[in-house]
Amino acid sequence: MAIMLFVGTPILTLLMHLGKAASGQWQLVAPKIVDSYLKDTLILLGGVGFFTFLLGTAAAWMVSTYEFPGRRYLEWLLILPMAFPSYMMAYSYVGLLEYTGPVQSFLRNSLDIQISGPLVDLMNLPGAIFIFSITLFPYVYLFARTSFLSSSKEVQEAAALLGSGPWRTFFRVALPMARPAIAGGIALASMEVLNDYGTVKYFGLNTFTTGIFRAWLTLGDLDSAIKLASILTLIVMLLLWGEYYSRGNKRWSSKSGRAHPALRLAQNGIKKWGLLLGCSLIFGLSFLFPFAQLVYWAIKTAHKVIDSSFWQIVGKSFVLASSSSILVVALATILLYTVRVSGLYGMRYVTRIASLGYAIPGAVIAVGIMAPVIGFDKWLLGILGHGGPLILSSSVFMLVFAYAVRFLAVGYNAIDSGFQKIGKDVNDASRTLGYNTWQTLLRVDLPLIRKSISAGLLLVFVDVTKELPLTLILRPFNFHTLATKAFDMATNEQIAESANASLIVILTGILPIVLLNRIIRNDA
Amino acid sequence: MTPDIHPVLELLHVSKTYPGGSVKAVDNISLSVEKGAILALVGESGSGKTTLLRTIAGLEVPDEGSLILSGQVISEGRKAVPVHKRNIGMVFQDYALFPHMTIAENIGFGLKGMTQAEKKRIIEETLALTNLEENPGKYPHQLSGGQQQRVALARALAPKPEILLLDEPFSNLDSILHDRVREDLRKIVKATGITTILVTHHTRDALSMADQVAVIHKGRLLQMDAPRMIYNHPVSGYVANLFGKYSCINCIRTEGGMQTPFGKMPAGNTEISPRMSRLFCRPEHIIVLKKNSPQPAEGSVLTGVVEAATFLGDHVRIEVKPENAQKARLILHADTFYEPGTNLRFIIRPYKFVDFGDPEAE
Repeated sequence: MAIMLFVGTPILTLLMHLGKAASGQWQLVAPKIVDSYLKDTLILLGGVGFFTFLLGTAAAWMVSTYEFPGRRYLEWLLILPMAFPSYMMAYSYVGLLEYTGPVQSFLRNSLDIQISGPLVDLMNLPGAIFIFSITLFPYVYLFARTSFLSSSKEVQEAAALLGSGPWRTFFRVALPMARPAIAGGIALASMEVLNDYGTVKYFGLNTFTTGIFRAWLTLGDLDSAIKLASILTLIVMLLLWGEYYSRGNKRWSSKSGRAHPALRLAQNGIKKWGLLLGCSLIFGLSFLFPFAQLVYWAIKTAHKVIDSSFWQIVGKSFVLASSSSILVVALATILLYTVRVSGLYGMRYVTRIASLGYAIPGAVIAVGIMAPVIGFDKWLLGILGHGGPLILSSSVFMLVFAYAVRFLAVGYNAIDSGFQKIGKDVNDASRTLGYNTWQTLLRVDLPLIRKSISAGLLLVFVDVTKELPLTLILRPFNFHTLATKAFDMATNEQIAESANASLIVILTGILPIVLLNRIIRNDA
Repeated sequence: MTPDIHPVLELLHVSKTYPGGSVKAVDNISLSVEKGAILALVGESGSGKTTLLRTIAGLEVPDEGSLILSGQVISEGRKAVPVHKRNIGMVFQDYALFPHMTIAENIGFGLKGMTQAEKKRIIEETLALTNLEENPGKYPHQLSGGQQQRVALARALAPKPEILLLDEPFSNLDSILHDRVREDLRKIVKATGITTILVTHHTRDALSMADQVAVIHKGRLLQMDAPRMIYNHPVSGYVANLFGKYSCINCIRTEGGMQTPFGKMPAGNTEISPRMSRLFCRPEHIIVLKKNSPQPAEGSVLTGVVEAATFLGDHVRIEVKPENAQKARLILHADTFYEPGTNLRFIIRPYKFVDFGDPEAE
């Protein structure tokens, strides 16, 4: 219960504020701001939703239905863009397309085409939609691919026997069956869009997240920040509800446990190379070219950037990420184990609320935490009776607490799947053999779920390393992580110099993808 | 072994409803188990037999009633001694072996508060008892299903529990292993003299393994008796049907017995209550006489003409028309097939007058 309260506080704070009367300042600016924020946010969501659907579903269909050269590699290479934070993708693309960038240099030197200014102006709404789509489509890709692979061979064979070709099978059978999964993927991508600050800030767009930052960091107006955050929370709730509703009673996709993946169709000649080209193009645009640009910059600026202070930031980032991931996994384990042994079935639903944190944008959580913590600090100072600086609200502890709230769901899901896998009987067995519940946790459950624990630690570690908006708001003065350092340099016209920090973040993110892929392959 | 007049385990009015459930999984069950006895809880899936077993283990807490283990109240109302302090061994349906421990480690898991030498001795003893001496260093996944089950049994027996609980001990074994494992299990359990309660839906297992059989249906205890009594003297049509096919012949009460369509059947030394209106017998209790065989020493010979016969594998269902009376349906062992029109002479021995009917006729 204590953990629930701990995690639920920020969300409750915001919901309570929704109903409160507004301050004078807020009433003055509200209608105009909300209107323009809402417009940009909705266009962004719509555009990203559409393009992630297109890219993700197409890529998933290609690799799961057809056989072509390189398919085995592209199948998991297409997940890699997930490791690329969208703001870093944005810097990289701006660099790729600018006057001195490789694209224009190539056009100028080889084809003698002169262009003044950037080749394509990316720093606008369509540009942001492009950046988000190529970084976030793997969510849709992963969900859709799982669905295509698990929809049983028999169903596709039945469609073929009924005279339907691959295209017709796709539109009439596979796509409708994968709809809940695809909707889930788009919902996740949308939440990432709402969470983003780096990209929209860099592109100068007005979304709710930038609004929250402006209200708090520039104007120091916590009240307005909270108001904006609450509206954003409402949008997220609507999204969550929409996703839940769209799944609703459509659980047909994974009904039978022994679904056989359909045999991949071998393609001949042009088609084969066309598929390879299509998938490679998506991979190139969404990972390879921007990654290469970052590597080029990183090497070029390494002598300038890499010094002792850089390594200090790396160290701080990793210490922060490790301690947060340990906290998250410990909390998730205690929470889930309590549910597991108490056998209180209702508790499962209560704990789901705790995992809402992942859906709530980082900026919102930051604001939601700030209000109660500052209140607590003032109360603490009152008790201590001196006028020193606020203790908790300017410390790393608040940051770790915020990470725990935001990423609890990540650890929760990892540990939950571990517990589900080992079943309840081993726990019961240990207790009939004379060990109480906590001894049983140490001697039986923990050793058995150690893989899930490592997975949970790793995933939270990566998420914390990538995290930007929450860190920017809650970090102590002059405190930097790799993510904030990269962001700082890029916004200060030092894009090339930011590449070293970015690269470390991206490589950290690739790690779990590679490991996960190995595990999946071993299982198969 | 000196006979113990006190039961090892007593259940008094135990009831349990799962949270969110509308019906009682266990409904007011009272029973007791003698020391060293094997009790089988029999019922269809969902009857509440497994819930009852888990309640005895302490894995479920009953809503009402009390449990007394060796004279100590271990559960009363919602207050219960926690699982780990009960000293009850349990073998789970899927064995629940600890996959990260070797066979020896699994068996030694429940041995606490003793020297390493003592522990080692008990593990070796238990391995020998369960015929597992060969590979104590192996891990559970390296063993066959039957071996895994023996490890689970050994693990439960090692701490010398007061009661051993077995949850569907034969459900994961193929039919070839089934009978042999049942024999082995009974031998091992009887060798240790431990009081055992097992849950099963295979009535054959219950009849052949247990000293006492308790039939549970919709959370209630319908009948608890020795296997022969359950089989030959069921208290209801449900119990009768659970343990096999049977015939039910309509009767009318007469002086000193009952009048069946085939003739009069004496009451013998059983008392006939006013509600009893049928004669109950198992297929093997209908003995068909050969054409010219002499009158048997006991039991009256009944006669009739076969009107219809249906072959059903290990038994036949025939409709027999006696003279001057309505036809009746009989279930016989399928050693011969009776063509319609055959004159049938038979005796029924033993039989029982009951107050329930034939579910197939209704």
